[in-house]
Amino acid sequence: MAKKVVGLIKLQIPAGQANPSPPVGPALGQHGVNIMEFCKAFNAKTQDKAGLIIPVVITVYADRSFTFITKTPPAAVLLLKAAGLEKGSGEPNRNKVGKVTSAQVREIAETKMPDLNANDVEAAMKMVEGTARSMGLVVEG
Amino acid sequence: MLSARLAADTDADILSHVCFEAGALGCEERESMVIAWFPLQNARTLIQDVNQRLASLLAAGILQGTPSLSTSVIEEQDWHSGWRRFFKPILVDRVFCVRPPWEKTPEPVAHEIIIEPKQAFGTGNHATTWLLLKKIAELGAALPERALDVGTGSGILAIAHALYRPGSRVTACDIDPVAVENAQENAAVNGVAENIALFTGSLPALKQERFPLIYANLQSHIIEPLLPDFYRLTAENGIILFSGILAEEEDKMRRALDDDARWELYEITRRDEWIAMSVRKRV
Repeated sequence: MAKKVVGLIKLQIPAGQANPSPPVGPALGQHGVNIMEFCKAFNAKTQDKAGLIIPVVITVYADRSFTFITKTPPAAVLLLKAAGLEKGSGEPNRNKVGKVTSAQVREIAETKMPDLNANDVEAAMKMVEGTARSMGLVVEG
Repeated sequence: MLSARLAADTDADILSHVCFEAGALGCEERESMVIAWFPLQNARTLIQDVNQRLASLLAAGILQGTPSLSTSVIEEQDWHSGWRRFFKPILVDRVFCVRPPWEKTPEPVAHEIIIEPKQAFGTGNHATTWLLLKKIAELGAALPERALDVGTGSGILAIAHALYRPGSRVTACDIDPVAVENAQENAAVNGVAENIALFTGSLPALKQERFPLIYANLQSHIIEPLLPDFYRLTAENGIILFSGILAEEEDKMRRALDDDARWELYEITRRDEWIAMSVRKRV
């Protein structure tokens, strides 16, 4: 069909938990997208990723039909997992709460490469290291 | 619900993470801004938490410049069904009324087409769909018994054909399995499931059959390379109704058809910025 894109919506929502409440309702509703249809499809697609925050990009077409793609979890979420932490530091400049190794940063960078605006893994690693610092994580090695 | 708009010169993922750590239920990323949604309970504490985290990121040199944070309370609304206001019945002459299940047909028509707006293109709300529905309405009794709908989306064109030509058999395909699923549901709702053979795939999958009428609401860059397949699948004197072509692409499509030299372009119809081309296979 002749698809003309009229909107791109970028959300981050917990896997398997999309519902018509914000942010999904207001973001999709203003574009006339069938909210329950999106929620059903998103939850089905992410049900095996419970506990993770999932970025999703919804493309809205001129007749208000839509498609969506889910992306890799945010670097911060993957870093917490790698560090074995529930939360990052509220004061990352003063209070360091954990460590990740350079190898873990590389692994996360490689996972995130398709979704990052980085030319190579080294550039992606720098971005992930920045996120680690913002969470009070020390990168070792 | 509390909506917090957060802007800062840093990666949006970092801003989202700050909000999730402070208890956000979800985030929307817009140009240079993250909108986070928090439960209204303890809103002040949550926002203090966000502010502290931002100050800390600033002190650590992770944020450049001063971040801005503004909040507003959003009253609970009927998020579940608010989107429905965008879908109204669409009339095509007095032949078809395309409507979502919750709307009523405003005036008598020959056939209602009920389309639940989902992921598949073809809710009826687009000029390219309307142009071909109009052609189907005009063809009326001349509609052949067999037809092919390429890129069927919601199945709307196949359904319109099957409704207006009782006893017909429409083959319909789409490369998107979600669209095929939607089309199956819509065909059933409109009582023509037995008249429409749906499959996931495209033209190369069709080997033997020749069709006197083909609907192709695609895009010009998809249509052009498929012209040999369209020729193969069109019966002698058969017609193809191409839609999904921007008016500015008219010359390009004309050239593609001329170069192929096996088609007679006999009509162009227009709506908004779109055109549909009616083409006959030369004998």
